Amino acid sequence: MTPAAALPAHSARPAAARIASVTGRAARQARFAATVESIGHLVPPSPWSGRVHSVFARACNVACGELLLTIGTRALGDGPTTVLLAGNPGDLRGRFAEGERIDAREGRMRSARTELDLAAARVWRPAERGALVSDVPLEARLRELSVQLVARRAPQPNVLDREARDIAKALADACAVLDVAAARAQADRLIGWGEGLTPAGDDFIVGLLAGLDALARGDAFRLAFRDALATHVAASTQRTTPIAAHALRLAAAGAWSARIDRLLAAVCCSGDGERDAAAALDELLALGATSGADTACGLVAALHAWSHAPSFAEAA
Amino acid sequence: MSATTTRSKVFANLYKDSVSLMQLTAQLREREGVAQASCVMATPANLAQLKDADLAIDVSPSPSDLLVVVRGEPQACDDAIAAAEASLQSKKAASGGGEAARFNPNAKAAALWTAKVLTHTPLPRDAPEAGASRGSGEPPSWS
Repeated sequence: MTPAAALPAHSARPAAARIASVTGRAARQARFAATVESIGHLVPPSPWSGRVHSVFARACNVACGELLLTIGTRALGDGPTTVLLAGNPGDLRGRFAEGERIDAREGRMRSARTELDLAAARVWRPAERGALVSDVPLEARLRELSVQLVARRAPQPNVLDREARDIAKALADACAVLDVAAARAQADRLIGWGEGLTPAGDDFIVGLLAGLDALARGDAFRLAFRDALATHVAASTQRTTPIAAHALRLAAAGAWSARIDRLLAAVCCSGDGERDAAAALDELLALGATSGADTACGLVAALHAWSHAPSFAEAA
Repeated sequence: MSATTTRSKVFANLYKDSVSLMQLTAQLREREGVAQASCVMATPANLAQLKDADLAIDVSPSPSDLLVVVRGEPQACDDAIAAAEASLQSKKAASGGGEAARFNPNAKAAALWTAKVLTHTPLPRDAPEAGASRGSGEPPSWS
């Protein structure tokens, strides 16, 4: 009798298989497990595979095709391509490594060290927008918002407060008169301009596209202008960082984070606008080092540009 | 100040937040013998700004690269670049970086989904009347 034959039937497997089973189980046991709280509505349905692009304390970017998915803690907030973790997963730099593979299948996302359970996750998508407020309260809310934004930007100015200020204003002016050529030219100058992960110019354009989308009011000329600018921006994203490029492509397609969506709703739609807008602005300003403030600038610029209902003269 | 020179160093696929880069820029500018310095992502727009600021470089980095440029006395520039490198590398664990980040997964399913999301999905329109849906087609499944 061979030693193997003396073993119980369930153990009579090749040694390599037994070892693989044990080590595989150990690897699974060693994985950090976390529950996903919410998934952005544009996260691809599984199965898919991606690679970790960059890791920060509270966010891990995963390249998946042309999309850049973000796994983050609750503090990051919902977004169209964001996977938010429940509870406190700790510093994500200890959970993921740049370049490692992530597989999503059968309700789970797995990397070498981490396994995320998607089973109980809710799908985040933008809330349905309420009816737009009329011009007068909209302008009052915008004035208040502008005052707050200027005050909040003062301690931490960047290129949008200096060299790029006139360019950003010229872009907003081009939006107001629906001058596509001028808008494209100014957008070209802003894309990729500024320090950091998402240059200030890109954040401004993301906010601007969101604001234009909110106040197009179904007007064919405004819609055509917004589409033309968005198409141009989406085609120019190779001129900025991969992270900013992803945000620009999403914004061009009409998708942005929950923070932006809430600020738009608070300013443009019925409700307790002033109080809601202040809270939503606080929430957006908390994003990144200056990204939230730069995005808010673009959003406010677009809302100012299109705060009046479209007129025949404007369209002409 | 004696004859000035410009030195630069490219950090491939390194990502830092804007405040970190502004702080590093300020620290480099304060160094003795340094006339001008900048730490930015190497996007065409930022490269054009550097050129305007007399900080033009003779390499062609990509927008996903972090660029440090210093102008001043030769030794001061070398020291500043070394200091910047030490600062950035010591914090590298805190951000993305490395060649692996260039990986393109070429995942067919993801690529198809991307095309649907970013190309073929109609832009959601604002709805003057309350209650209009802003959904973008069939909800996907994650299981």
